[in-house]
Amino acid sequence: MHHDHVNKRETPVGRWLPVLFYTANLFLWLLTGVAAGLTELAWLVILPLSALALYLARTKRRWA
Amino acid sequence: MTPNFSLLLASGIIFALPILAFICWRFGGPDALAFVVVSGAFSAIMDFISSFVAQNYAYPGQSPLWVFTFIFFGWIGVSGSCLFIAEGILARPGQDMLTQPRLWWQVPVATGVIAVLVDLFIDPIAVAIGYWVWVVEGNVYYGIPLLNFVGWFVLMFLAPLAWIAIARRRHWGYLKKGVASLAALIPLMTASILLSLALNGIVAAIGLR
Repeated sequence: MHHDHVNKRETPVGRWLPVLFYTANLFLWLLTGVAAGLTELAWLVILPLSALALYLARTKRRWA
Repeated sequence: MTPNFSLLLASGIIFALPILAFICWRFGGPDALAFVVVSGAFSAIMDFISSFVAQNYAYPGQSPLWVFTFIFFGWIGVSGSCLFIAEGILARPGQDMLTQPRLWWQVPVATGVIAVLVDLFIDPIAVAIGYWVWVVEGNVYYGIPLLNFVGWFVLMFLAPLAWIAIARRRHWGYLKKGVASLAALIPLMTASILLSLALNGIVAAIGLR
């Protein structure tokens, strides 16, 4: 059965826009924190970045 | 640094709209509408109750309308961005969260976990700057109560769960998906209250706050 939403997921736009959305949010908060002098909290970004790393690894392996 | 609430609201809206456009592109308008209702409206209503009824936290000096608008768009953005990361981690090639059998519940669970990871980063920064203030004190993580993270998990688990259930009905149009989304609000609210009570009860039972 043809599923257009599945095909779209496996396009460059389908793979990379979620990365852009996710990192843009993290980057804005990181920037906000650093601008406020909260550099001691910056390392916490590795928590959500771990999910992004998993996403990149899983989608790369499957679609390579 | 003084919190800039206008910038916060603008960034929340700017963050949500492209995600809705992306959902519209991948799944179609009816599913974008369903996403607005179950991710935006449902989550915003429950979060609004947490702030103004339960008085767990507050956005200093902001009107109820400002708060509702911000959390409505904010939850759409968070839910959408975490949902697609979860799908990418779990879905096999040639499948997605609507076609792969067990992803109807696995993706929502992963979305909830990822959203909590995001908030473990965001909340300490936002609180330190003064974007929001916790009335309930926490004793584990930067003074932020664990009920906050329970709330993030519950909302970001239930909203995608409902959305996937509706989006899997591929032959439904705007009317059916709109009505189904609205009809899902009461069960979603009930489920979120019960699940939050259960999880917060477990957290309290082990002496954490």
